[in-house]
Amino acid sequence: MCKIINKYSKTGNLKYISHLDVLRFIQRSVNRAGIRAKYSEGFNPHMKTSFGFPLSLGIESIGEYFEIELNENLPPEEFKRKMNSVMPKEMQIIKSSCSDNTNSIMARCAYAEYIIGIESENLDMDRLNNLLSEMLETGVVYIRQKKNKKKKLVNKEINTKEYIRYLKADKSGDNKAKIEAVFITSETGSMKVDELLKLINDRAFNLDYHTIMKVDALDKDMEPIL
Amino acid sequence: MIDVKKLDRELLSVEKPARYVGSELNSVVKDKEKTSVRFAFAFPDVYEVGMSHTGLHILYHMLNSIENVWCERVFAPWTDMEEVMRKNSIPLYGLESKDELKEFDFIGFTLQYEMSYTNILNMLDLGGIPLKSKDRTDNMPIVIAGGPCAYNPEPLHEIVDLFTVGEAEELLPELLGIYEKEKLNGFNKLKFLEKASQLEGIYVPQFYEEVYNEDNTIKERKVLNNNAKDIITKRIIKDMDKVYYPDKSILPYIDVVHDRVVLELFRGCTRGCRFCQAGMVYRPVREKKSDTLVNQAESMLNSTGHDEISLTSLSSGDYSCLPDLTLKLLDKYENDNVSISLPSLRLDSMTFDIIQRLQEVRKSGLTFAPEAGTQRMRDVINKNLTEEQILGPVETAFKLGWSTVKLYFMIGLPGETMEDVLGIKELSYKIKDKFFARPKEEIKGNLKINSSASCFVPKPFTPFQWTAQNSIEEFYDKAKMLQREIKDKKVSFSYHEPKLSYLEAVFARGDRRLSKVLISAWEKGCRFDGWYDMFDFDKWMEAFNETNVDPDFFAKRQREITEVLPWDFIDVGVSKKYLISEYEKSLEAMTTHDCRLGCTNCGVNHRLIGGACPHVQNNK
Ligand code: SF4
Repeated sequence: MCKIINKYSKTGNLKYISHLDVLRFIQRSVNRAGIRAKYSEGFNPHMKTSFGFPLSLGIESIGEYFEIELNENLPPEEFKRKMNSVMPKEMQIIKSSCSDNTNSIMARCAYAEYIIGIESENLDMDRLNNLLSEMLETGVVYIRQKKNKKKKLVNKEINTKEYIRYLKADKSGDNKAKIEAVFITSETGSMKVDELLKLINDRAFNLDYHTIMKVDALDKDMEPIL
Repeated sequence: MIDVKKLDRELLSVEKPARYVGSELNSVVKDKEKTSVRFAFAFPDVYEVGMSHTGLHILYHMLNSIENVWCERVFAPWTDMEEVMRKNSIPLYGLESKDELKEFDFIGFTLQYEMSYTNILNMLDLGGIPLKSKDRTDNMPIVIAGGPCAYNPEPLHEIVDLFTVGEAEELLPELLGIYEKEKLNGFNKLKFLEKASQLEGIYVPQFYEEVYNEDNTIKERKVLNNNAKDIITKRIIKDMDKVYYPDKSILPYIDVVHDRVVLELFRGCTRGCRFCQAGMVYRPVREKKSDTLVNQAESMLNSTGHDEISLTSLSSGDYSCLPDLTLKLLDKYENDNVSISLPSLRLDSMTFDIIQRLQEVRKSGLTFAPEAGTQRMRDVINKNLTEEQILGPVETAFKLGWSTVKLYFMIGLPGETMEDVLGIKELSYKIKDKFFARPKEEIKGNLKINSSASCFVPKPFTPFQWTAQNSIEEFYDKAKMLQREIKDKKVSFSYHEPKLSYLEAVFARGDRRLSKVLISAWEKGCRFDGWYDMFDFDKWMEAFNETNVDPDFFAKRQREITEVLPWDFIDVGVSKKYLISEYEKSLEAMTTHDCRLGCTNCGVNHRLIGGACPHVQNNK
């Protein structure tokens, strides 16, 4: 019986659901699908699943991952079919496969790819492109406030250059643009899309609306995890 | 539809945005062009509380099973969301369609507790709907309300157009049927209300008038409309195996209070505790067959993927097929990591081997509700529970390895003395002694006894409906004394906020004059009053002052048996004569036996079901 790795989507209103809730929801979907999952031993048994980096609230994705160990022999294709029949249209398994990689999904993620839609009444493509290339090439430094272990706010300097691999904007309509971005992710930290948007707000122009879609998680060779 | 983009822009700024977006699994989205009646099931508390309520799931799917009806949900937005909505002019909307409340035919509130009343006003206001029935025109939604607090609907009489009294599974479709016909004929609200008021279990407050005596008690109730009944009789479902039950339930994405399959074993209760409104108004007991329940559990598990089943009812341990049902469920699900829990477990009526098997899946603490600390007091309230019946099972439980015990008590019960209050300490300590009275090598775990006391609130349709509530000071005195006296590290004591219980008592037994207090309190900013950190007692006192209503009149006053009570026009089946005799017996600490052992003539049999109660027959 192989461990099954799955790429799944989380779109529409499901973008408002936290990582922990997604975890539980997927486990319940496994139950609904009548699939026999493997459980941990012990006092409070739990389903053996593991997930990729938590997606921030408000971001849609078509590139989320989880692995699961089963107690029955089920081909990945079957797993996917059974799961999709009990999952909502906003969350569907896109791809399933046997996984023999012993590294955790998180350890395998090196990059995250996003498409960000922005709208602004004073959208200025030149200013936007200037800012984006500055972020990518020379780097823009900003302050991130974080709570330390003693729950005190501390400042941390972030240089965009260290976290961005690719950044490009295209006009996509009246007052609308689309930004493609590849961020470097690691277990010690990464840049957040929100921070990118805030820099645009602060340094270029005010945004009226935005949408964020995570397209995929990529490994160190810039290949999709699945 | 509301401006969804505007909403989307703001949602990330509020706590738990998933409360406000819908699209959960098994929620129902219909084509609104193809439906003729749109119903908003409104729960006047936050999403997580509302979604934990079984009645919501039943009525939601029941209404949606009617082809031309679309029922959606709406919950009270938390204060952060309210602020966002007001600032951005986003009206309150149905979760499924995102259409604003104004577009619905009905807004149906469920009244689970008195302290949610201000949320009703707030929700109407957020929906742009006038608060008072008389200010709502024919093209505005009909505001209806039902649930346990509708047994005394009067405090909401100005706000709600019509109340449903009793169980609504059969009543609601009848009501919507009448509405649909009226809508086709050119809708006229008054005409609709007149037709509706002819249905059993419907109360239209505007068809009545309350007349007061000089001492502020009620002189009489006048019926103002020929179509309205003198007495409103509660509705009951006769056959629990045949009544509508959904084959699926909505699965919330976020953690809700009760996140599991809930099986309702039966309705009603035979024990006759004198403080318990539910025990009186839900009579008689009507059980579901265990096969019905096993089937319902299966479809619920299949549709949600939950891994826990909880068996609920007023007193689940009294279910006549309990061993049969639990064994069936255990055999079926034990290997699937599905656990079974019995929340209102009475240890005196349940065999321990079953409990033990239940605990193999998930071990939880033991809960016990002696309600009062002394035997005399337990006899006054007719708890029918001796000290041996408490200590015996607790001892067994300790032997089996339990070491956490929760004990629920009430303070301020009628006729209570300081000795009775101290009985709470005594009983908690006796339980502690049972733990340590065993040989050293048998003592396992770290004993923890959590005793908590709530403040007694006299409720309509109970034998205590005439009694005075303790004053806030008396409650504090009693609670603080217990806190001082209970010094043992193994026993912890906590109590409910007396000010909240006082207000609850005012509204539980209030009359029409409270409508204006409610509106005034809401205007001052009261909402989520049941949430202790939101509750603002001073604002409420201002509201009473400004409207010239004396809250003590409702909470602290002892009524004469002959007084006309604001809810006297409602017939719950149990006769007033019976309540009076139970009240008189309580004064002498005389008990009344459980009516499974023989009918005690509460009156519900010949008034509502026309024949002996089924659970009594079964015992013959
Ligand atoms: S009529 Fe008799 S048996 Fe039925 S609920 Fe009342 S007391 Fe119990």
